[in-house]
Amino acid sequence: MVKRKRTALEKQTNLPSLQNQIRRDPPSYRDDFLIQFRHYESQRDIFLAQPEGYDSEPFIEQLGFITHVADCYPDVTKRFPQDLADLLLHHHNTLEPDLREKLVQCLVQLRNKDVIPSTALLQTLFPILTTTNSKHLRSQLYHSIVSDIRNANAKTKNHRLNKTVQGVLFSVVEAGKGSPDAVVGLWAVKVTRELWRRNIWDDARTVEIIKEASLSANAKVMSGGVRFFLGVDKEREEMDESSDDEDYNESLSKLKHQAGVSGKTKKKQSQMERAVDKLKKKERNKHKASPLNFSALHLLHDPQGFAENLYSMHLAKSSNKLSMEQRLLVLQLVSRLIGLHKLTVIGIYSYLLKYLTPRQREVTRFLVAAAQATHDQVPPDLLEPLVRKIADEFVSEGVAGEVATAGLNSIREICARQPLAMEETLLQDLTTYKGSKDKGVMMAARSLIGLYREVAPDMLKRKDRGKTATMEMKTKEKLRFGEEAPGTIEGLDLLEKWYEEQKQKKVEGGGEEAAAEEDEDQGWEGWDVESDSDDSGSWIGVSDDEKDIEISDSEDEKPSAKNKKAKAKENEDEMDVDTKDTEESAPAKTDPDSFMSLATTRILTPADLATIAKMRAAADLQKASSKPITAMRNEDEVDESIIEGPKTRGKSDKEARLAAVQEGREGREKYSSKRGKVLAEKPHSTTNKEKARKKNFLMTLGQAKKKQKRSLIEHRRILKAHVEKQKKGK
Amino acid sequence: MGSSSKKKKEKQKDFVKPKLKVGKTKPKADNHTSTSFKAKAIVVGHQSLNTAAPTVQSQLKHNLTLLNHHAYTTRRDSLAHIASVFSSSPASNPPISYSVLLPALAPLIVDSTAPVRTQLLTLLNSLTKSKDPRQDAIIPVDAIQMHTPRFLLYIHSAMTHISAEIRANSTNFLSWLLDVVGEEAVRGAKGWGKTLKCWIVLLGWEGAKSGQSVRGSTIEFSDPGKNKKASLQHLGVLKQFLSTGILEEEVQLSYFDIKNRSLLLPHQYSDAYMMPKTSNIYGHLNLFGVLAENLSEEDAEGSAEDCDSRRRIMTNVFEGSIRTGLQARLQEGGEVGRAAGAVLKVLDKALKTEDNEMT
Repeated sequence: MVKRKRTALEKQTNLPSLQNQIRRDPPSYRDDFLIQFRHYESQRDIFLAQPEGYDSEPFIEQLGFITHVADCYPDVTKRFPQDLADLLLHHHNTLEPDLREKLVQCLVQLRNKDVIPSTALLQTLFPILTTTNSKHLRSQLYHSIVSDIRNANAKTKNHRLNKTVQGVLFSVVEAGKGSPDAVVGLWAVKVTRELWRRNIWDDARTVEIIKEASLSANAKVMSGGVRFFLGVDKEREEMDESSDDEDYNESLSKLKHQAGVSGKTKKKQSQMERAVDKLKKKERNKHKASPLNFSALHLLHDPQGFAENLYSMHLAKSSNKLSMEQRLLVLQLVSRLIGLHKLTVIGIYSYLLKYLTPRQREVTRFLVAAAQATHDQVPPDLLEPLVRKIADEFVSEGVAGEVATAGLNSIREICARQPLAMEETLLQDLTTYKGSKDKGVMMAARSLIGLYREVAPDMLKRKDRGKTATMEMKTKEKLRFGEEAPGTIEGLDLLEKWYEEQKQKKVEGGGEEAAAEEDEDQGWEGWDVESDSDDSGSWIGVSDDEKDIEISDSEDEKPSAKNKKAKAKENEDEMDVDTKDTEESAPAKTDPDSFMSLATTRILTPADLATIAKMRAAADLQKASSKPITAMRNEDEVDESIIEGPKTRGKSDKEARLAAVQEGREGREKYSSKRGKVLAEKPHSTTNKEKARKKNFLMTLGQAKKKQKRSLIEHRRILKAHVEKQKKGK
Repeated sequence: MGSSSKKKKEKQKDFVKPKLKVGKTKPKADNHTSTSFKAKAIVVGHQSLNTAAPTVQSQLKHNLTLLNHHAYTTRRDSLAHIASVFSSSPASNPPISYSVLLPALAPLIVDSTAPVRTQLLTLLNSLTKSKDPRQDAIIPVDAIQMHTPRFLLYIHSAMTHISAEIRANSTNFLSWLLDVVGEEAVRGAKGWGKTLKCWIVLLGWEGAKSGQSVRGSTIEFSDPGKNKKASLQHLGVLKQFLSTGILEEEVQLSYFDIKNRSLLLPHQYSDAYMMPKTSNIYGHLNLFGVLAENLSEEDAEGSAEDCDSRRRIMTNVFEGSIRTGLQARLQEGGEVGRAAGAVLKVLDKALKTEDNEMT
């Protein structure tokens, strides 16, 4: 009551003070608010009666006020958000910029106060984003839309909201798909891309939107979608990396320094604490398993259909008005899809054929596309003309070294993916370039030889095969199309060997059984969560057979660790002993079925896998060889630099050479001659002093002797002459 | 030696006579002080040296633009100028179109300074009301009627303005409008429902409905001097407003009218079979709408084309709060109480007549 009396005494003259008071005590100021709300309504009516040439300043103020206190009187302001949305939707083109900006701000503010749901906000803003002519408004809307979705997904993913927004975006893209003039989809692509980049959206639905955009008739929308597929995953990684680290650590060290330098204040201390907390949190996050990040290309439904549509829509049609750059983008995406998902798009190979000439602009990108579009399921008949054309056009005596390098490299890339694409005679022709004077060409030809030494040495000339390849030739079967090698676990044979050694060591040391058990235990240590938690229960003390085991294992090095696991592993142990027995005989045989015995008879523990990795690393070191060429996989992107080969520095003109020399001298002034510096300031010939200094010693000898032999008279005369000279000089 | 010769040279430099050259200005002395200056603006006492005076029209146009001037004296003076020009010119041939003049005047209802508002009121009163009943006003009623909605909008804005003075003056303008255009001012959603809403917040009676204690608007009471005067005036205008809106005048038909009627419409119930003059005449039956108890404020802005529908809106939505508010004022006694009583009487009379009609 006291407050009420006071309110009656206070004079309400301006909105900010009223707003302040309302925030403190909404019920007491209800009447004042009502007056202001009615005032807002009348202002709105005045505005609606005359949208143009309206003095919007008081209205803007009123809007801000009502928005700030709207959550205090939900019953009165029920229709307020809808009013704002209507104003914006119907008048956004005629509204004064300030008022328009304020309206958007108010809506966002209402959303932040939870007066309206996110969906309502987005449903208002998105249609305006796609229709407005104002650049400023568009950027404002775009930022508020993205930040709103970000906020909604800040703590946990808001799946419902995401679903609806994605639905809206999808329909926007789909609506403009047919017509070449509709650029509406561009904004959908932009929003989607931004949210994907920030890791807010990462599901198949998002990819579906972009997929739809890439099939749009509008070139801009299409290239936006295609670029998304080609580059967005890299962007996301970069974003993740850059968002942490540097600036942050820097600020921490700065804070630490400041804390040491100036006095301790509470503010600085709390700043420091906050920074340390943040750092700790980040450390924790670093150790946390990262969420599954599937690349956009992997999340596609029906990649075959998508690739075919892309090809037929944007590439196959000759009437298409796409620019070269756009067509290349599409080609890049299609070839990437083909390689990644092992698709069959037959038309693309004949399409590529057209562009594979050295004079073609951006030909390396076409070569890259040809290599990317190859995988082991592509029929060799399709690839043979491609390889033949590249060989004819690029690799001959008449062309420049760089061209031949690019041709050979691209042939190698294609053949690494599908070795059957090459004919024997052609290969033998190409390998003759290994003696080329051009380093790039020579290296490219050698790498081609290296490739075929591994996959099909019989196709090479005898002298090119090398020793190991010739030896392996006997066991190697001829390549056949469509053949799939049986899956193996790499390095399993190494593990088996290792086990063998360990066992022998154990046999020398203690009982065989103990050795096996020990192995098993160590393998699962620290990984087997469930058995650990079981142990912590009351089961341990009660059991009788535990004692027995303890007695029997008294010889073991680690009785306590074994003790814990004993009960759970008892059965396994027995089984393991059996397998070990069988394994003893296994290594003697070398047939392919038996070498996988380890994989089929027991479950590999994480420790086993770690051992495999170690053994493989060691084996690689022994071989001292880099990774084999055949390890190249069809999923990977082909880099343009691989095709281009090493850059050689050609003979440049004199100016360029001088420029290079000058460049090398930069920052080394300290070491240059002093005389050069003096002359640079003021050019002059040698001074007398310099001449005297450099004068031959023998020539000066006579003069020096003469000076000593001067008589007193002579000496006086010279001194007098000197004085006289000085006077004249004045 | 070297340094002294340098100094000597420097000393000599002071006494070197500058060489004068033909066709070049004389170099300025070292101690020369520039007395030149720059001015941002040059104000000339008499701006126009034209011998021919500007026309009345151009002067009026200029004055209309001055209505938005930031200095209130300028706004006031231009209002005075407009008033003088219009009062001296014949009504049949206005110097400037009313459709230009009136929309320009309306925003001044919410002007921030009192002198401008008073000047506006005097202008409106002098131009639209004729002192002599036989003579027409200078600005014809038709012109005002056309712009009634616009005036109403600004009156609503003034009635709810945050500044107490503007609110205090707002009902003066409403009173003027009611005087001039009569029923036109209360017709339609804007005229009736909206204005009543504004009345309720202006007088601080909103709480009455929800059962809170009625109190005067905080702002009104915070102006101790004007408080009584303002509320007296408000109640007077409210009475006028209600009587215009819901009190059906007995139309006194002259003999000539009756005769005409009988000639044109031979049957006494012909009215019932004529095309209705207002829209949505069966709205009160509420065939498609919500129940009367659930009528919300949005329904108050329904059609209020005729007296019946206005009465209906009154009883359904506003009567409760207005009555409670008036009762509270009545209990205060004094002049305010008497005024409130008068308003209550009008209300009773208006709503009773409706009851009578219904029974």
